[in-house]
Amino acid sequence: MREWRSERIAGGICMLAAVAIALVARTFRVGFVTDPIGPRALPWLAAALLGTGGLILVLRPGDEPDWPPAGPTRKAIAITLLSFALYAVLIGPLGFVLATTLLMTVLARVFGGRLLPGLLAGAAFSGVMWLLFVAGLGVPLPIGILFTRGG
Amino acid sequence: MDVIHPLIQGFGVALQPLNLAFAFIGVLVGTTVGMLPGIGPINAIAILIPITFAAGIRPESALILLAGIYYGSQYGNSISTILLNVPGTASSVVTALDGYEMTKQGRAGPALAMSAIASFFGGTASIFGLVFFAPLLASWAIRFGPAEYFALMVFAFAALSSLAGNQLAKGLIATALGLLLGTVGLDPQSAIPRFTFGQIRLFDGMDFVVVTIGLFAVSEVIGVLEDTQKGQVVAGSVGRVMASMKETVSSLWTMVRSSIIGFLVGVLPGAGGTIASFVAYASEKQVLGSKGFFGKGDIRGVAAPEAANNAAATGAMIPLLTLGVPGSGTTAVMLGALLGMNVTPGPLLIERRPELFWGLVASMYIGNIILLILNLPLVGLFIRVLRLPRWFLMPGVAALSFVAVYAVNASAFDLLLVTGFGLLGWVLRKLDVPLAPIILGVVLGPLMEKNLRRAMALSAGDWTILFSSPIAITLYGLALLSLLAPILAARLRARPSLAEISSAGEVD
Repeated sequence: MREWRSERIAGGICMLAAVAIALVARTFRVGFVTDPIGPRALPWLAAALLGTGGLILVLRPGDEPDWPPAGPTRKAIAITLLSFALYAVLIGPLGFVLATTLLMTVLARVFGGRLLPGLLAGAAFSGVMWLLFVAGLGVPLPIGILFTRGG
Repeated sequence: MDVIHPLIQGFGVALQPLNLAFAFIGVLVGTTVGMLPGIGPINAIAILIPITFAAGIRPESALILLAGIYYGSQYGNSISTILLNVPGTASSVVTALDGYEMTKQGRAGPALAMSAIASFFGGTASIFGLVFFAPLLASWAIRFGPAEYFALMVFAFAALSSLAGNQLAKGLIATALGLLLGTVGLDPQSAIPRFTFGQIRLFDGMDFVVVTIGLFAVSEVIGVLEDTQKGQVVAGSVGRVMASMKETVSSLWTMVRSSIIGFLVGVLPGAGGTIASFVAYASEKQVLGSKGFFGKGDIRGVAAPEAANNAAATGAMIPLLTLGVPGSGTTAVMLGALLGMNVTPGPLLIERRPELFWGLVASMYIGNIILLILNLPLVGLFIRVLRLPRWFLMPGVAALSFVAVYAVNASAFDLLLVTGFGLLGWVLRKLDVPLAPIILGVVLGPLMEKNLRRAMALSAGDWTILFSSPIAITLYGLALLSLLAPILAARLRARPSLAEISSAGEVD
């Protein structure tokens, strides 16, 4: 039996988080009395639940989940998460259409598609979405600083 | 009680061309997402909410659309279950037993047809229950004070946490996470910031759409990515989608009994379609005894769970609309949508917004008819969608999710948040922590806190007010019972299969 099982670690994190949350909630002071229990009661209640749940997991951890083995799967997941984060950063400068095309091209590759079809599908999809959301529904999506500065 | 007159008015609302179109779009989208891996009704609804807000759609139309997705997805779900043995959500796990068996025997056509007929039967029969029980429950709940509401919400959390996951500890953790996420931002009563880490961007709180899309849609993209590495199952072709008269007649009483069971189970918080389909299947097996050949391709083994889970979807609308307390992740997201449109579900909803309640009821009749018409001849078309390659589908799901998140606040910061929630959701799924209680916590947490603090203000800080009414005490008793029931059941080893099935039941 391995001593450091995932569930035990997760339980430990929950317990630490519960203590931290309870301490932070102590600072929720109000100068005047709004209501008898104030803004601290619910966070404390939730922290107590979190700590209890964590303690049970530490004491009685369940079976080890099937984490993806090191290799292509883990690499694919890392690339996916990285591309999501980059998308958040790039959507402002590049604008919605370009950033989304890039994101979808990368994802198509990750999901086993070929480069050119992925790029075409991404470009078509983001173009259609731009028309649908911006022109059709009036949802404002970023045009991109690169395109607005010159004009 | 006069229900005929308001119902006629409801049809007046539902038959407006725009609302008819929304019902149609809703059930079409619902069928598609119910069938495909990686989307599911909860994601489809969460993605559409910011869009309905932005487009300024009226609340009753939006509710017709979202409800259409909800019950439509139950139909779509059964298609992938029967053909591929891949239940999209846990509520279809039981359908796979006889449904996939029939496909292996070359009887996929009748199985699909029966699932459409039974879904229609369960979906429409249960609307009668909705029409009569909802006003009844509303007139009873009108006496609820803040203490009773708090107790009711405690019960909803207890029921969902204990049934959604097989371990109490994980249910507690999920509930706590949801409640905590719900407190992020300015406290509405004292206006002090909580858990914002000095970030002004967090003062408005975590939007439930961002949390939901992150935990469910983004984490599912990662989950499907993992499966893709193992290869994709492809649907074969299906013959004529028809059930014979004999098969339909033989299933009639199965559908009647299963619809009643499904409806009653659906009204309970936490239980939902998963438990409903399981209970209906198990009881039909009992009732039919040696006359049935369940598990060996009995068409009634498809009819029972399909009628039950569609009836349960209707039943689940009752606590959502009349108490304002949803019993599942999906209905919690719908509550969030209604609150965002300044509609407060509760005992007064039917009286104050009759066009919304009765319009929804009428649209559910119409939507179920549209579903039946769509499903019988068009299954072939849906199967073609099922054959779309993953490299085409999943990037689209991701992009749609991000558009929806961006539409909430027009903030790139939310896109980073949703990525973080995606990773968290994937890890929690791996650890078998149920996700539905988190969503319930985010949506219901602020309401729960408001009622708690209001009750305490009424009693000037005396905690005994929470346990002072018989209704509240009964609800706490039920909460305790539902938390302890799985543990007791495990001790007695009465029904291990129930625990097994419900352990997967986080989305329905």
